[in-house]
Amino acid sequence: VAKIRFTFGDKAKVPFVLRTPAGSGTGAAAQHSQSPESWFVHVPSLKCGSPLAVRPGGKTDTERALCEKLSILHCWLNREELPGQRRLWALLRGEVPDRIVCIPLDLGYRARFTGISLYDYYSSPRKNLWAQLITAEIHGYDFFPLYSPGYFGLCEFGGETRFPDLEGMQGPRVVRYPASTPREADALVVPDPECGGNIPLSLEFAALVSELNGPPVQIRLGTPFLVACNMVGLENLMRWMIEYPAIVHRLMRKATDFCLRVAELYLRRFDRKRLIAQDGCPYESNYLISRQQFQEFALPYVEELHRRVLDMGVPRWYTHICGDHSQQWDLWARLPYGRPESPGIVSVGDEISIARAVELFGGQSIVMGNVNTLAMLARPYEDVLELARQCIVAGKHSPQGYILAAACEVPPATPPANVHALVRAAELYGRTEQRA
Amino acid sequence: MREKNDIHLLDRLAQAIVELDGGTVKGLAARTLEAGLDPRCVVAEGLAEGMRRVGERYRQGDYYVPEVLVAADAMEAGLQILSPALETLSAEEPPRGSVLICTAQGDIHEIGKNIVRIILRAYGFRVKDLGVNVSVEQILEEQAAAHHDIVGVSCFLSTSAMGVPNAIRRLKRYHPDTLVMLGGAAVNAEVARTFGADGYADSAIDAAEEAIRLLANRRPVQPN
Repeated sequence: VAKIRFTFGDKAKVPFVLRTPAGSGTGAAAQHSQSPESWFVHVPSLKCGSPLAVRPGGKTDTERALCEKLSILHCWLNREELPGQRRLWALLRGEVPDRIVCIPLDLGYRARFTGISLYDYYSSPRKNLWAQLITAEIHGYDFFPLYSPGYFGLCEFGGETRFPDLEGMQGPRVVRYPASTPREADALVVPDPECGGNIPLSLEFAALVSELNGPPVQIRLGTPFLVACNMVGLENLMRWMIEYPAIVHRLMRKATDFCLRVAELYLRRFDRKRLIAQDGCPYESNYLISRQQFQEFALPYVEELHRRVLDMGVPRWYTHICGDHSQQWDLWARLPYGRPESPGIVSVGDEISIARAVELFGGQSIVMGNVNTLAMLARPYEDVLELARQCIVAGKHSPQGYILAAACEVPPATPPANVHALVRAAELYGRTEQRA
Repeated sequence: MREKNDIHLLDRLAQAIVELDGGTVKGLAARTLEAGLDPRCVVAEGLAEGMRRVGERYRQGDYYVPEVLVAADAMEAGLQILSPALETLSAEEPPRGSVLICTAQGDIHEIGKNIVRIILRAYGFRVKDLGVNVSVEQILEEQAAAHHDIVGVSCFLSTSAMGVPNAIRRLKRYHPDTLVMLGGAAVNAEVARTFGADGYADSAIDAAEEAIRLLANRRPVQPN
């Protein structure tokens, strides 16, 4: 390989990457302690690198660049096929895939599974994507890249978070909210999403995904209610809904406008056909607020956001309706999540049955969910397989299709066998006949 | 025998909390002092009674977290009016107590724990919140430094809860007089008792009431 390239004066492209272990350093005698890199580096025109070179400290930019090219992510950036993309896109286009799509929602689990630190997982889009790719490939589930550096809107409006850099921190933490008094809240200004905060990290992730062949590019958003909570803190927002409702409405307006600006930014930068706007709504659940409060403070703004983002040209939403919304499922069903030719995805927790979710959302959207996360964490493989089977039976004939997933984020300590149980269930029970 | 007018005043005070009317609570609290009522009775039969009624409404689904928070603020406003009079009685007043709360090791759920923290503070407890995924070593270190009356552990995940009995054993070994309360979806009253906890609560309001009950019933631990 090197000779061909050398012979043609570097003009012939010979894209070939050999990744191999070398020099175990364990004193494991002849069969396991060889160091072939000394042979390779003496071959003219062959470029050699070691992953050790990307460790912090003392390495040159050239070495880093070379090692990045040798990284697994780089290999994927040049690959034709990513796990499950044909199947996923068939579903997103309203076609019938070979089997149901399986996206476990294993977010922090991927850091544990791939052995990277939580700090890297949250703070480095590249390492995060790498962990997602590795986990999807090993488990064989369908690759659907999602990234969140935490607390959407908080840093952008002037607050501060901290990535998990200490033992015991399981995710980003709030250091300071942008506002803590009604007066400060009223003084908040909708920021330029390109300046500061965590949007640049999300954009970097989206740029990496857009270089991959095929997967949807996530527009990381939040519901306006969630963003407003991140602007002033959950406790303040809850209080002010009663004490200063006008201020809460002004916060909701700013949160909505911010989300719209972020969506516009993604539309300017990325291929709109691949975009999927993403939001989630734990704070609107009936664990915290009533239907009436949801109707007054949350619904009008999230409805406007969904409609306007679709009107801008984003094809679809992926919305995770988190927690107990038993008093307001009908109101969520009113929202637009996509178009007939590009159905959105509605992901539900196990506070609602898949059968009921299909009734409410299945007519216009792909339904996603909802294997109990505690069962995934604690129960045997066979139990999880059975729960997944029940979900598939209830969901597979949903008019716009169904995605097998956990009810919420898979707990990071979940045994890998139980994540595999979802993939296995999709294979065993999810082969698709023609949808009704 | 308490005067009918006094009972009426305390009932109105409790009702003002239920109606989330902090201004009226302050005014009525001042009137109880003018009427010469014992401020401790005003707290117990007016303010705490109001929060008990709020808790009822919360359990029945009439009130949600926003109402509970504002009611707690109204109670706090009343407490501030009463506090000078209470301070003069502080020598006789039993301490409300301090609580260390956290989510069990391996568990990252915090919303429920945070609500409990707010309500405990509203009830007048000093609360130290160690956050989520807290190891027994962190609890022991904090207890060694601050000697909280109660340690409250939130257990949302069943596997994380599996480590709690050992944590309680170790805590009780070094701090035998510390009371332990559990809450969260992975436990119930029976499980909490089996784990060696002293108390259990299935809502934030219950947690505050359980903490008050535990402290009221606490007996000194005899050294071995």
